[in-house]
Amino acid sequence: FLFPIKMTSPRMIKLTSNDDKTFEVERDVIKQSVTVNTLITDLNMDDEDVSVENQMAIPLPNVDAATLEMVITWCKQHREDPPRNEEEEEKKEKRTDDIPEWDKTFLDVEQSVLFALILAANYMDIKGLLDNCCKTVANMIKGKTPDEIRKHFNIKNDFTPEEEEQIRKENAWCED
Amino acid sequence: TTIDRQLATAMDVNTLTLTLESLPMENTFQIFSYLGIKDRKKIRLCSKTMRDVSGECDLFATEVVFKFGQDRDDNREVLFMMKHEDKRFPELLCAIKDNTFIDGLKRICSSIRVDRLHIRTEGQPVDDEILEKIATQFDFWKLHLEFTSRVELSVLRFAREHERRVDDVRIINCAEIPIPELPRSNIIYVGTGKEVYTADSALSDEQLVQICQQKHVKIYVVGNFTSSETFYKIVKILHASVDMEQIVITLDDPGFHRFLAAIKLRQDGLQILDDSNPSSPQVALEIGNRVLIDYHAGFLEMDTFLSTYGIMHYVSLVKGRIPEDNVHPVYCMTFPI
Repeated sequence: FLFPIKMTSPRMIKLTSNDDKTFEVERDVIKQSVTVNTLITDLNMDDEDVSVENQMAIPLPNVDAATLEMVITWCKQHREDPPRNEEEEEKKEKRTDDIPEWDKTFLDVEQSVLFALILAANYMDIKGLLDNCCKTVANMIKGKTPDEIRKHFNIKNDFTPEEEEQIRKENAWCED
Repeated sequence: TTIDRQLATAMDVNTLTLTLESLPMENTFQIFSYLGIKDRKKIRLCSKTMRDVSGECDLFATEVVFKFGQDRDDNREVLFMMKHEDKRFPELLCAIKDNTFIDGLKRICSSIRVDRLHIRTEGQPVDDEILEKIATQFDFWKLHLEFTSRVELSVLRFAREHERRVDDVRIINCAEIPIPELPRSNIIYVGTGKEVYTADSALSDEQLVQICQQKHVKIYVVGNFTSSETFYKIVKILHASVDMEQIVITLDDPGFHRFLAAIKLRQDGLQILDDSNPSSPQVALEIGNRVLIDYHAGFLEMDTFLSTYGIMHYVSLVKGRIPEDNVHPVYCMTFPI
């Protein structure tokens, strides 16, 4: 006998960005967002036998479509990552040289995009993405002279020449 | 872009007010947490506003609290360290007068849901005007306002005078900790100040152990011990009586003799391991059961001292110049106890 094999399609979740674009994403992918995951659980959405078409979309009022798309891409890439143990993460040495290659390339974007991702990762509570974004920004600061930092982040130098000289003296050892 | 600028300037209390709407405070500090002390200091060189009230101490302190401040009742505490070096003091005062400092504090606290605010004052005694302003401004917040300081008598007096007016002022100092009140706080600062409030005169060994063995108590032993003997004694007592995971010991500028005490602990068999590559002092704090020593001393003195004790290789963190006099190097050492 040949029994028809029932293919179970992955459960999908709808997310709406603040510019009203709706994304469908696999439940298993978006579980990396603690915010969304909690919402799904709290609303018993996992139990509902509702087709994705009729499903209520989860609004993400702090995330625009372009950023949300990137977040989803990141989550897809990291769907197989083992669950984070926050206690262990806390104990880990603070390093910035351990960003995975894929993430390095993925996060090699304009500052504004990167900061939007930080905000989204923070809002959606996706710790892995947030960590790697923050590490990327830290790497942008690391090793630069104050002048380079100013230039890179468009910081206005509001020191008078005398003040700058004074503070440079005070912090001379930073610039060895 | 605006947000670039905002992030770039989100580096001290003054400018945080511009950035909090777009970038949560935690993220800024998270970014900072990946920067070593040298890079942080470079950030301070970028603009005047970054220099005004912040300094790396504030950032370190706040960051430490992000790591440790969430207690078991899910309250959040901010330890805000005010560093009153003479030179910076007028700037701080100005910042308080024009409310940027207060606003900054408020924004921090409201953005991260702070239930308790520690204001730890260091060095110079705090001006009454500052205390007055802070106490008044934070009155309506119904926050716990705690002054942890070297406890100049004037500060104590002031805090007592304001106790009725401010929602809850508690002075956390080992001389002032009433034992029955301990469960109210999961974080205890066992600190001592002037000679009149030394740890050994204020707290018996039994009392100290009693404090330390309280359930759910995280103990921070802060510096300013009056003698190396006191420090030595306290660490030994804690080591013998308490789960060391609970203890974070920080010594800020402990001075030669207290450093000696730390070394003596090592000689007594408390394990000291080489930790050759921590990137910044807060790493040491995060790890927990370590002694962090931020040691300021003459270069030759320190070098001679370390070679005498054969621990040169333990000096691993920072070696640089103290801004104040541009002469003394700064050593930060960290090793598990």
